[in-house]
Amino acid sequence: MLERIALHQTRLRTPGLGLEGKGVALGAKGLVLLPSIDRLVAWLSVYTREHSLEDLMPSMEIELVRSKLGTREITLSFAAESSDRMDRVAETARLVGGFTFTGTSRHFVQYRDAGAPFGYDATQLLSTDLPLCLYHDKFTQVYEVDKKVDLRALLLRLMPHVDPGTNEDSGPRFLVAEAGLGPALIHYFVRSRVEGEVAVGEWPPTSAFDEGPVRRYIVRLPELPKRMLSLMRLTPGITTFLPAGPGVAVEQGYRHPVALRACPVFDPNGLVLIRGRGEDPWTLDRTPQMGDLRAFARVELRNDGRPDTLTALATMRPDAVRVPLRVVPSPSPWKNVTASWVAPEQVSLLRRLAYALPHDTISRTRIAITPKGAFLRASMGIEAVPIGTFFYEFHPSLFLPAGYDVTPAVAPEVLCRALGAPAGQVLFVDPLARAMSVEEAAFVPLETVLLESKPWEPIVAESIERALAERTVDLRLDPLGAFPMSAVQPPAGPSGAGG
Amino acid sequence: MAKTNPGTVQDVLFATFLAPLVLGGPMTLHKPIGGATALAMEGDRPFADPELGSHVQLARVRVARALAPVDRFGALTRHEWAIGALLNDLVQSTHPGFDAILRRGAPAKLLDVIDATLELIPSPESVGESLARHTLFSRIFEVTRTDVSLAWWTGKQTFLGTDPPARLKAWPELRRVQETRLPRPLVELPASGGVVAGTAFLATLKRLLARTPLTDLATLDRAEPAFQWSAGTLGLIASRGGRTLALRALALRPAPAVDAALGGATRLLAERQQWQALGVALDLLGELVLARTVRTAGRGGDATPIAPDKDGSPAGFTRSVGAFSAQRLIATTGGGLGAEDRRRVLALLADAADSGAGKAMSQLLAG
Repeated sequence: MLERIALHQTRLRTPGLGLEGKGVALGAKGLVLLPSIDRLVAWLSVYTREHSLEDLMPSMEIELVRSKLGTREITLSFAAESSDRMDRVAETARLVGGFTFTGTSRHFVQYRDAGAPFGYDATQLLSTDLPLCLYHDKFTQVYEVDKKVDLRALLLRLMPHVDPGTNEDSGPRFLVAEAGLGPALIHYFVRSRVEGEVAVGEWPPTSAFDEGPVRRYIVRLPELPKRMLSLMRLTPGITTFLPAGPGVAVEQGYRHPVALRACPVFDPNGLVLIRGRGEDPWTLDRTPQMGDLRAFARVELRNDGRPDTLTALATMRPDAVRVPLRVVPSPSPWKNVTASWVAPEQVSLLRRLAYALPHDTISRTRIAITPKGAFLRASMGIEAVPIGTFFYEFHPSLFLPAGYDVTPAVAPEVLCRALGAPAGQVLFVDPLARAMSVEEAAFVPLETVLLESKPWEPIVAESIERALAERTVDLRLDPLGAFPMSAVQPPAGPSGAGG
Repeated sequence: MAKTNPGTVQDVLFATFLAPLVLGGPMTLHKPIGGATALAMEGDRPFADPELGSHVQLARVRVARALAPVDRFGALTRHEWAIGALLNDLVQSTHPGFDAILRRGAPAKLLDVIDATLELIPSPESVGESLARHTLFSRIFEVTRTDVSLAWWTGKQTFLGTDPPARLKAWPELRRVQETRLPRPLVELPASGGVVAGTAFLATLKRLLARTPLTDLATLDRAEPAFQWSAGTLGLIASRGGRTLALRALALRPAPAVDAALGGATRLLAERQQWQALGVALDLLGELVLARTVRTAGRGGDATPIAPDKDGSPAGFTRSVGAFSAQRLIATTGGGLGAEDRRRVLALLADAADSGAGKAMSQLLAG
């Protein structure tokens, strides 16, 4: 019934079968025939270990089909799209004992294998009204669809395998506590300074005899301290779940047979908690509103008759608890780096660098020249001037070295106040926690400094040179001679002196 | 007596006296010239030595450039020649050679002739002429005579303005020759071997300075003769341009000395009740203190107010009266300042204006 497709063959008999670019016979769909449901699960398990089902999901259909002989088998159909995808699916199907076919509507021929690298074509088509005709080199069979199988429902019905290895896993997790345990668990976390969020989930009553919905506390923890792992696992009424994908988590100590992270069938806004021991999963269509654990800390009001406020009797007393400021390296990324300190020995380098700086940088940068070097500031970022020690703006008038932070971790305003900088002063704290103060008014545009420096030096040099070159007026006397006054005549005129 | 040719005198005078006065270097005096010859000198006379003349003109421009952007000066006018000739005679009056029989009266006669001649030389007619005269005589107080005292094993001798003969300095070690050179500035020459009366010499020098008022102002921190306002200096600063030149010239001198000299001279005007002249001088003081205050205000938070007059010193007089005058200047013209700057400058002036003579002046004007 089947024949191998030859190289450069162009005509195929099977309707809906064509040749793709590589010459491989390919229909619009691919189909995997699996003998049983456990083979399907095996296929899903193997396939999702390496690949996501995300690209298959829009077109994927799982159906229970029945042959004329009454045997039930499973078909998994999807858009073929390319021989690459089909090759991946076929390899997995071969591994789990399934057969792979390709076709478009009803007639599906065997997908290529090692014996027929370009695939197969049916030489004789079956005449039938049944929706599925499969042509294989070993058999030809027609099927009718018994029912569709929902993947999500299938995944939820699958019982997780026992896997003690997950007991020691770190990372985020969900804790579900019965209603009576919830408050105690929350206070335990608050006392232990465990950060997390908590919500209350409601499930419909399991029995008609229950009075109302079942409430459970759901705690989401970014990290559970190791010392609490066994406590949470062994305490009755508390169940720990490890996230297995968006919107789904599996109970700690168990592992789902399918990699759920590769199956985008769960709503990320909802929450499905898959439990072990064959118990039904807990499902929430929408994740309830979660609040910070600390908001649920126990509140106690004192009632001892003391006044509401205490008046300080003296200030500046608590020297005993004062600690020196320290500047320590910080792993956080650099941001807001707007100042730089150029040491005196590097100022000459800055002068040379000025020739290479673009106009924008020069016009944006302000500089203060001090005996300890030059301080540069640029609100848009100082990285364009690649020398000196970079500082970031911790407070409008306080700069810390980039890549460093202060400890104790006080607020910027508190640190600024503690350093006692007067108004109009800008403080720079270096990596050794030494504070340097520069007057705000001392910062002038770099452009101005560059321009003003030019006419200065030659004038000074010229005036010095002139002063050194100027000769003194040295009076030398000659003898007066015999009649020194002989030529002296008073001026003619009414006021002329007589004589 | 043979009549002296003024042109010949001019050529020699320029080469030996006027050129060194501008350029520096060895200066020798012409034989006393007299008023008639001085006034007969020809203006715009080409220099006998063109190269020396161009050097002098270049040096004059350099002096002027410290005060105003001048590119060239013309040849010397006849008044400039005359003042130069009279200065030569004035220096000549201190010549030790007059200390001889039948000659001791000559210096006084010479001063009389100089005074009479100066009366016939008008004050500068323009600011430019003041500047031109200043470029010639700006170094008048730098004229220095080097007196040499020579001592050897059998005696000693002083040579005033002349070098000792070589024979006296021969074998210095064997004869234990000791040579001491002592520079004598112009105002000390009457007392250093001269027979001319010091007071008469200084009075004539003052009259001569009145003929070059910008020089008078530019050297007002001198020890003698003390600066006093004259018709020439008041006439110069009465004009806007002249006042600007005067302020620039004063800015080159030490501020405390300027304050002391101006204070002493201006207080004299007030004591003599020369109100018109006082008004002109006050304008200069006001602008001087205002400029100084504006510079101070530019320092922002470091600006210090003008110091008040606490001790009644001449410098305090200048500060207080100048601050008072600066306040009036701001009130009438705004002083070229914006509203915020005016407020800051007035705050810096307030203390000084409300002290000493400034306060008295304020009360006087308030009636």
